[in-house]
Amino acid sequence: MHPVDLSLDTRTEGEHTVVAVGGEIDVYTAPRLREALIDLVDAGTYHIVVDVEKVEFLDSTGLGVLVGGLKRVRAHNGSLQVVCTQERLLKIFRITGLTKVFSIHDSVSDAVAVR
Amino acid sequence: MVPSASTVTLTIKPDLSHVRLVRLVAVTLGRLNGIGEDVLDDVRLATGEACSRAVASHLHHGLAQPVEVELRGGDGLDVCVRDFVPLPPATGESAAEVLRQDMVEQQSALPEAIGLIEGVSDDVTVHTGEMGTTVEMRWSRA
Repeated sequence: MHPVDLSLDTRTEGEHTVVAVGGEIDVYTAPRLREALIDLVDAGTYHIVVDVEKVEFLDSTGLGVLVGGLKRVRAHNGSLQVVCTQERLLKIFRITGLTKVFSIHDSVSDAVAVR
Repeated sequence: MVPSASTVTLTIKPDLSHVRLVRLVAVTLGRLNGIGEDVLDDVRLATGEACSRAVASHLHHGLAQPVEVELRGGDGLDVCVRDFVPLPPATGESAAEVLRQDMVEQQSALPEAIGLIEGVSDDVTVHTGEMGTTVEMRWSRA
């Protein structure tokens, strides 16, 4: 049984690549998101927006993947921004102090307006 | 209907795919024992974090032995996650620091996992020792 419950949908909006994530980002599924972000950076994509509006669960492993992605794009003077309005997820960013690390936006349009 | 004082014990193989199952059981038992819907997200997160850490630790140290999770209903919900990787003996905040350091060395997850558990549980007690680690979490009835 492989209860993989994670969806990844990647699209381009102007200079940004938007990764819309759905389902659960946990210790089991997070490696798929990590691989997707690594693939994007390896392909020369350095301005990434991760949209977690359809994420039902996020744990510290998922946060670690986002932090890893941020480090990778910053190495190329890029950006990784997060779209999130769900209070239960924002609470996790706050507890871990990551609200000071990530730019968190209410919408994809807000995120892609930033450079 | 599960009796209010029910106890559920799970033994799970050190396989990361099983952590989700433990989260589901914790939320279900929490709901049956009067934990508020808004707090069930905390139960799910903390139980998952504790279980992920334990399973990842067994995997890192090559331990095939199962991880144990005991969930006790009653006046709220108590969840105890036990692994069997020997660590320096400590209790309370010292033990939490031992776990943080262990996670840094494993590079398997953010050491912030312990902070998350502490941040979303009503009460947390950590013990580390030669027999392994227990992370006990508690949530009161709404």
